[in-house]
Amino acid sequence: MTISTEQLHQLSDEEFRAEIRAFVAEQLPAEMAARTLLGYHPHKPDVEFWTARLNEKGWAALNWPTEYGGTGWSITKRHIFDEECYLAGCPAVNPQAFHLVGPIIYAIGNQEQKDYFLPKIRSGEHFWAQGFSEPNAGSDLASLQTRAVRDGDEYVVNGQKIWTSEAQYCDWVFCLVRTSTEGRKQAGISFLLVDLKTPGITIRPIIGIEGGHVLNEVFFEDVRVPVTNLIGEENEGWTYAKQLLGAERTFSAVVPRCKGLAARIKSIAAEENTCGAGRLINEPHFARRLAQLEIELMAHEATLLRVVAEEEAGVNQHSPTPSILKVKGTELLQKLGALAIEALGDAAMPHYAEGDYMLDAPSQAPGNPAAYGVVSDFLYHRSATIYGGANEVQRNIIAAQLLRA
Amino acid sequence: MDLQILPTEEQEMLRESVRRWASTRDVREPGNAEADWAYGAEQGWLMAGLPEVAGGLGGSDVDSAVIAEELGRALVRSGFVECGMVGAHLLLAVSPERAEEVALGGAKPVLAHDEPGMRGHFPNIETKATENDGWKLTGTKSAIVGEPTSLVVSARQTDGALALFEIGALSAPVRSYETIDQRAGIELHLEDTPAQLLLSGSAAENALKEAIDRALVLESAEALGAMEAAFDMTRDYLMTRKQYGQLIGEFQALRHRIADMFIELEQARSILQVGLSGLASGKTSERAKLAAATRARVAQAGLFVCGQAIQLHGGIGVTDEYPVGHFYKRLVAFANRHGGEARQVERFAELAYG
Repeated sequence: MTISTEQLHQLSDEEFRAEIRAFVAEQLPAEMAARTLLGYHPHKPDVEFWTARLNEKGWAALNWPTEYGGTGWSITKRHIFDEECYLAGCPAVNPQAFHLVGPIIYAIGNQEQKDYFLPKIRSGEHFWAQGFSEPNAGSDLASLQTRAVRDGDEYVVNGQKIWTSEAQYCDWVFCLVRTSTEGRKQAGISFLLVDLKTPGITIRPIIGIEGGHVLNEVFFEDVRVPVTNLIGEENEGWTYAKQLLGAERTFSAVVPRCKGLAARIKSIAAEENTCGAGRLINEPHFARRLAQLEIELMAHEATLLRVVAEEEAGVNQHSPTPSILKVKGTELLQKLGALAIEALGDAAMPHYAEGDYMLDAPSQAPGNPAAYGVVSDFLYHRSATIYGGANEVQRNIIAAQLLRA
Repeated sequence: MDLQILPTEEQEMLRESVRRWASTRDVREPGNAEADWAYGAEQGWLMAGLPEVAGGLGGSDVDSAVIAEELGRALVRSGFVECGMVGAHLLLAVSPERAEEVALGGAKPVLAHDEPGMRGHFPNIETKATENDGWKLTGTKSAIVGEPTSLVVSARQTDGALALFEIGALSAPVRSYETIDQRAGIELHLEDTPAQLLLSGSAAENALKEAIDRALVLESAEALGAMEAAFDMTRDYLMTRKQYGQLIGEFQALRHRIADMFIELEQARSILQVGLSGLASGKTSERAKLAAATRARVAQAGLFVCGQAIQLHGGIGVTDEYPVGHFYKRLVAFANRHGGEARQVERFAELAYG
């Protein structure tokens, strides 16, 4: 397929969708799609492969400004692109790089930082981890204590980060570190980029309740980081980090993921029933609840499109919309996951371990292949209402904005 | 409803003794099922709910529920409910001697009734029994939990009549797996598999229906125990974890949540007594209706309580290393078995409104 980013920009939304669908069908290996659609954690070689394919077209950093390699497509087109890719089973690009640190680097970083890091994110050469939370700084993030002390041209970093997703296979971590203990606790925080290969860094895995390894603890012991890796001004890191919340909005709304799950539920519930109890999708009590969630999802998706459009048009700037999207998206995701398990019935009983079922299911496997990955994905996403600012914190943000005198 | 509101002194002592043992366990680990079983047999847990004629202590399902609840608190994964309580009563319908084998710890029978598409629709048994040089069974039985010595299989004979058969575990064509809550799961793939006829006709149907209702209720008792443990752990966490310079239990949003969790926990505790009164009623339709109600209400409460137990713990709650997620996984498995909560609500409606 040779159609250009610019040509796609000119197409109608439906023509655009058809082009993207054709591109994915042509470029995405079937076994990679099948593996991704199971819902286990990303398989790094798959993510690298797909990021490189997208980057060749200039579509990896879809949402970035065009001067930094973005597409310049409309909100609707970008949304269609995300949805087509997700539903077809394209591996997602490293979210911490594309949705979090990338936007900070192009918005706040200096020219050298932009020139060095942004191309390596787009190509998939650098995978990024987020080093924000600490054991005693979760919801109360500003109380973080990892210290960075200036020593000549370097910072010496000591401390510990936790819940660091995918750190085990990332190349860099962007950290909030304490550079001052004076004034308000938010005032002494800086935003620092750290090469994970630097001596003094230890990564310890945390196994999740689903049995997978996404989370890590990252320990810093006299880790020397060049001062050129500071983003923006020293002690201004908190201000930059707050901007991430907005940058993350499309991602944390999890609309394509919810749609994919709804489709998966429909496919499971439409299976012929060997027991003569009829197809589940035809049972009114089930159909009604699935329909209710799909209706909620439609409203949520429309909210996403509306708030992104409003924001890009510069209207309604002070509405707490990123928090609304996060709360609604993650809660819908959990409800859909619960319904998927219900649809599976007894087939949800076996623990289909990620390593055993992601590449090839063993012969004599129990249950129903439609179940592989479903429970694992559901259990993992218990964390969705906790990470990225717990939903309780998001509700406080919403209320604080609404009730401001 | 004839509820036993207050426990007897004996039941309090029984609870204490099971709890003392169970509290030493690591809820994150599956444990040693064989050693657990031997200990339980020695303690008389397998006799508690059986009549004296079957080597039992002449107690009731209320005693079994006390044991099940305490085992649930510690997530004991050794099949006491499935084999020791439900399975033992099934064999009691065959003969007191068969039940006594369970009471003494020698036999571990488990009911193999659910099928992949059954979804709690009791009569929809697709497993076929044919008589040809002995009985042979063909069909699939799913979501069997425990490490049984034999499987008691529901099947239909060629004339459509229901019957219960037994297959020794060693000769049963099983696919063994670990369940999502780290228990020993079995799927039975029968293909002209030889089996012994245990009961047929109305005797089989009565025994099967009673076993299903007993499973619904006593598994609910186990689930209640898991909910209690998750709740206790969460309450303690709210009183120790600090954020923003104060205990997180001082935040109103979390105070309301823990209050709601407690309300749900108490509803589950109460409906369990309703279910137990149904088992004791001796009236088949009443028993079934109240068992369905119990299962549905405990599932609803349990998913909320254990889900919010994780939520209030934050990140630590979603780690395998921390116990609270293990209680949640038990509740997910519990809530989804035998057709799930929605099916039990539907079943209640069928039984209550005709």
